[in-house]
Amino acid sequence: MTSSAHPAAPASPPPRPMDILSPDLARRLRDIVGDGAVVSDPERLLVYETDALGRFHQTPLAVVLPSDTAEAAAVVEAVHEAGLAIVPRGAGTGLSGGAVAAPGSVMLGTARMNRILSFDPDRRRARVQAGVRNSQLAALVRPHGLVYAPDPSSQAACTLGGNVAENSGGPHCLKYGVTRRYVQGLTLIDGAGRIVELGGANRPRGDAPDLLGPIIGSEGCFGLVTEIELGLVPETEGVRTLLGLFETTAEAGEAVTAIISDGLLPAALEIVDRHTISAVEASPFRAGYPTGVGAALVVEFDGNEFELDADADRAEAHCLRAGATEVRRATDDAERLRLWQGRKKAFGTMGRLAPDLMVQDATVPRSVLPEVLRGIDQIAARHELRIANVFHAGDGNLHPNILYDRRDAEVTERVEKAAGEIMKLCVDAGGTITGEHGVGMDKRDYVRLIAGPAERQAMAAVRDAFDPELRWNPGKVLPDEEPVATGSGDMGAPAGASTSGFTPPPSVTGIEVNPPDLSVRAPGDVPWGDVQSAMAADGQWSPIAAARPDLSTAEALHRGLGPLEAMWGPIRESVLGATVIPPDGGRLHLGGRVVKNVAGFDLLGLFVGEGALGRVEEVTLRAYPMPEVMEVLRWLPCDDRSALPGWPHPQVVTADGHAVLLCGTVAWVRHERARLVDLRGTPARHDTGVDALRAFVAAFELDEPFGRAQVERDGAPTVADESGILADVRPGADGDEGGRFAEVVASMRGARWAWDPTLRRGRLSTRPAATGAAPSTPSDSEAGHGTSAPERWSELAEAMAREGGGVAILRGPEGVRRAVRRATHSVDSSASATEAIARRVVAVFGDTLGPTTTSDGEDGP
Amino acid sequence: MRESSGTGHSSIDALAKRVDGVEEGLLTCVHCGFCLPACPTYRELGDEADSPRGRLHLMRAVAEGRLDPAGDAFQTHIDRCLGCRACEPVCPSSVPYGSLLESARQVARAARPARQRTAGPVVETMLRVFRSPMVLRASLAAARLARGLGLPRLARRLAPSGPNGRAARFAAAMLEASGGRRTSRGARDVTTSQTPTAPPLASTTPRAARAGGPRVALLPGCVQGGLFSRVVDASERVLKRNGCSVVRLRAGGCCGALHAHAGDHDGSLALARARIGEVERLGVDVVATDAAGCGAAMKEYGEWFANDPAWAERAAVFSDRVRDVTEVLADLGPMPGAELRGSVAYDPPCHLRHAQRADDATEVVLAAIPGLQVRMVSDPDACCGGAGIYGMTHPELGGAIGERKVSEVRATGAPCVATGNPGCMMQIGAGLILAGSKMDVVHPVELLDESYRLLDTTDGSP
Repeated sequence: MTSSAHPAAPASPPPRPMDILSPDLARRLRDIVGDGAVVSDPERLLVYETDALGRFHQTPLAVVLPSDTAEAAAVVEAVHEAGLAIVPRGAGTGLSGGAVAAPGSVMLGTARMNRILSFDPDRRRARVQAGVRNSQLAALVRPHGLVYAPDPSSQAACTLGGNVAENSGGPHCLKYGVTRRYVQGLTLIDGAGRIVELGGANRPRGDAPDLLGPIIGSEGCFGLVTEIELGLVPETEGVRTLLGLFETTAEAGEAVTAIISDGLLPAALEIVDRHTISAVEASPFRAGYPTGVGAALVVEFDGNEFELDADADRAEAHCLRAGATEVRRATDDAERLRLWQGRKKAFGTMGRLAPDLMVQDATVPRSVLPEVLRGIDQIAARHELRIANVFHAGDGNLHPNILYDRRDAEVTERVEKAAGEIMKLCVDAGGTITGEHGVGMDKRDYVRLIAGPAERQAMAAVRDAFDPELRWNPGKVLPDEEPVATGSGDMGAPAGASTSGFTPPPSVTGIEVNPPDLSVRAPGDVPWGDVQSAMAADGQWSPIAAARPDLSTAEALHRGLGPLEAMWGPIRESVLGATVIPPDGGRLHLGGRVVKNVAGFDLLGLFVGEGALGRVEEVTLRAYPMPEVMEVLRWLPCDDRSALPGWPHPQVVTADGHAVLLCGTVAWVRHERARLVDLRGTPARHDTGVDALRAFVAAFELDEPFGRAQVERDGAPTVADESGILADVRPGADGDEGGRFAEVVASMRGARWAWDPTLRRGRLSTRPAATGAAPSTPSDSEAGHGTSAPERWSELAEAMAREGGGVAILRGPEGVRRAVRRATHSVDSSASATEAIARRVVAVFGDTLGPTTTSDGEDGP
Repeated sequence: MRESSGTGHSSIDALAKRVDGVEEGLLTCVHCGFCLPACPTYRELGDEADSPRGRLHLMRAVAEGRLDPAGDAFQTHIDRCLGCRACEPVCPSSVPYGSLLESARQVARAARPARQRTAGPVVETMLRVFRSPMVLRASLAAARLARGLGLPRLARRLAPSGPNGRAARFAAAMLEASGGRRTSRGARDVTTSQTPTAPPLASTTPRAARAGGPRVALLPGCVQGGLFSRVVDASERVLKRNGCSVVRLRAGGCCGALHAHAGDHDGSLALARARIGEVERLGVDVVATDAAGCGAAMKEYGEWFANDPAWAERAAVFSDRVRDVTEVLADLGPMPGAELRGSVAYDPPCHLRHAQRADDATEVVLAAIPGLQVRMVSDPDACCGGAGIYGMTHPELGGAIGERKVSEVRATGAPCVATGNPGCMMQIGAGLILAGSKMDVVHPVELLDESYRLLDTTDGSP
């Protein structure tokens, strides 16, 4: 974990005779991407031998720079045929060795896949190639009053593809969430070189789990992401930035705990320690941080102007009570930017402090932050080392970087010991080994601390499902396992394994609410309503929506968030960790207790949401401060002309924070064509939202009465009876999707429907045949156009697939499912690739998907 | 491998020391990659080897003995750098990329096998010509003659297709652009403003020169003095009007920037010594230039001679006194001129913005012209691709980079563009000509000069 520019820096091993790119392959690659886009000269390849961490060095056989998905897929095919592995690389800004070549591999760089493919400001989303830089997207959308929220410190240089690979965060992820919250879809080139589309209604089938979730944060090991569809958030009206000055980092940590416990949710909470301050202040990026203080805490609030000063005052009071010697406020934009510049460039300026830096990236629960910081100080003192600490205090994500000079072997030994001790301290405190930098090559062995043999085996098996021949980025993330002496084949520990070092968390017997950590743990079998009440008693709330509070918590986890997804992301975002029982038995402890966790491959998404596998024995959920007001408003539009006018102007309302954003999270609309808006927040914020909504309604002459609705809290369409067909419909990307969906609805007589303009998804539920309550079976389908007829759905699926959309049957008879699958496959070849992957993933855990059609390609029934 | 005369800069060992950071303290590259998006060649090519981080990696590999400096990789990628130094302001570690590049160029030049010791006939000829003031003046006079006879336009039409033809066509356009479009018709046309119908606002300060300004040596330089003497004339007038006493040196004295950038260490030092000596005799407070590239080089003379006991102090004293003309004016607070209603696009030269970090002064100067709307180009950090003779040595890449800048300039909608460096004026001007645009290219001081002239004319005084 060192960063250095010393002449004795490690170099790539000299190439073996066979490690030269074959002329045939070289020629083929040049034919695909052009002469200038293939680098095969060993001297030129030197610049690709490492990443920003600088600890691991290996030159690839060649570097190829395709310009788009098609070229990339052709490159992958060529390289696979030559039997070589591929290592993806974005901008090489990673800090875990993830983008370092494996010996004898070909590197595929995304630097030329840097186009923004589409941008829809009204619907707040953009589609980009993987090589687009984070700040490139942010700059494009800013003039439209939009923000791309995940803002890692390297955002000026890092690519969005890299952000997806690492599930990147950044200072503002405290309030706005990490990359996963904003990925709505992506294009992936899988282990077999096929192009796979995922996201939205691009689920291969309704009974398959979410594959998008595991790909995010998979560090380039599941395939190459070439295109990404990303959601954007409106820029808030105002911002307040404070700087609290403390004598110790521990005191600053206490201020953080106090602020969160008080129910405030700042946009960012960052701490920098004295060493970091001195480095930054000595650089051109000096931020006006005073030297001579022990720690500085940056607190930023954003939201509506009328509430910011109150929030800032409360935070200031907490800082002073925790021992701050001074609290400053940025008085203008220039000052605010300078403060942030100092934080974002901090890592780079550390080169001034020492020739080498041991970079660390541990995450601990917020509530133990002060004691962990004290522990780190003790470790530093004991080993006589200087540690420069800069970290995302709000998430408990620490970077205690150890300063030293690698040339001194004795010091180096102390540093390595100290690094191990710090890691263990953080894990023992309930944390994890990496919050945002990823495992890569650097932390492979530490994975044993947070994942036991069963978990590691499951991660490896899921990876194999995406990439059976280990073509993508081998040698990363998972540690080498000792060989299995017995052929048990199950998820047992390898025989002769040393102690894994992983201690499963103690089981939870009742509901445990943890306000300072913004989390709650509960067994899977307790009623969800009880969990919600327990959280409410402590002023907290979870956006997981369930149709009925009497559902068990585990069952509630099988739902999505419905309309609230546009604000809080897919359900996976709300789950921090879980103990799950896969279909074939065994027990897996997945995730953890912390908000930012990119340790290992993320399997949690397979066990929550629709199509989830197995069952959840206990779960740790993310909580948010309870909004003071929660209400759903509705009104009826007066004309039929456009059944779903959508929200033409995204700036109509800027509710934010605890209030669900309008313009698009408006959600699920009932069959009587009412519009629903979900508003949550403080009373003042709520009233602002209502006023703006009134103005909107008046402006568009929607003159039906506008008032409070008696609608169930979650807004997701319920289906009174559990029979009938429930399907997600996603019309294609061209034209007015809402209008298109309305046509679909009109053709499905009697269907209940709901449409989400932000996620561009419609949901249909059709009742069984009107003649009886019994669900349709293929044998009694009505002639032609009954809504249960498989032919009807087949037509629909084909029509949607032709325009680039899709239909996913969430619940329905097998005949209908089969018809939809066949129709989709006949148009969309990527569907079969996705289905093949889904089938393999599900098989990892001993489950199967329903019978397949004959046109699946490699997999038979 | 040649050792130079005692400074040690041209040796691989010196490069090693620089890169290791021992000499610079603990400032080293931490591989963060922030420089990549700022680099014009990386933006065009997407290849790590054409980024500042990649080039530093190659330099380090040479210093460690892992890479042959005579090999194609080092030669090509070090040569391909524009030297715009846009990477320096964004580097958190303040890696002195510009001076490391110069060391690397010296190593590259020295390492080429003897028969290939040249950087190509064009560059070598230029380096030799620029070493001799007399030859230089003669060559530039010939160029002016050709320009006046309209030969560049002819050459453009007759140039063959293919890369050499493209380079020739571009060179011809550069020469044509150096003449300016409407040299004698003045700012009224340039900014397409109407003739002011009312007399300009009465100014409270007298129009006569102020008293007591600094004593300024104005260096016309080589290309600036040879092809853009009208700009130097404007600088001289403007400085005098603002109270300076100006000693204008004879044209033909090159500052050595070209040689430093090409790795001709001996050449650059010899020229620096000549300039220092020339100015020392004059006893001035300020050494001014209106060419950003020259200003940047001369401000670094102190560094060039840091290890040379005979010249270190003299060079440091000289460098301390170097200012861009706009800086001198901004420090004095320029006297306001007559109103020039209209707009001008502004593109800061890299060597003023990144190398000298002194481009604020230009805005102060332009603000002294009432009514003039200054429109900054959309990406002021981006190089125009000029970089000396880059447009001729790297026609395709220089062309691609230049095209971006030209379209940004045109997108401002202004009738003319101002920039403070002759190389940039020719690069952008050539691009505009080849794109069929009628936009004019001026130096910022020309606008202020015209504004003063208008003030004098409309008030009736000569």
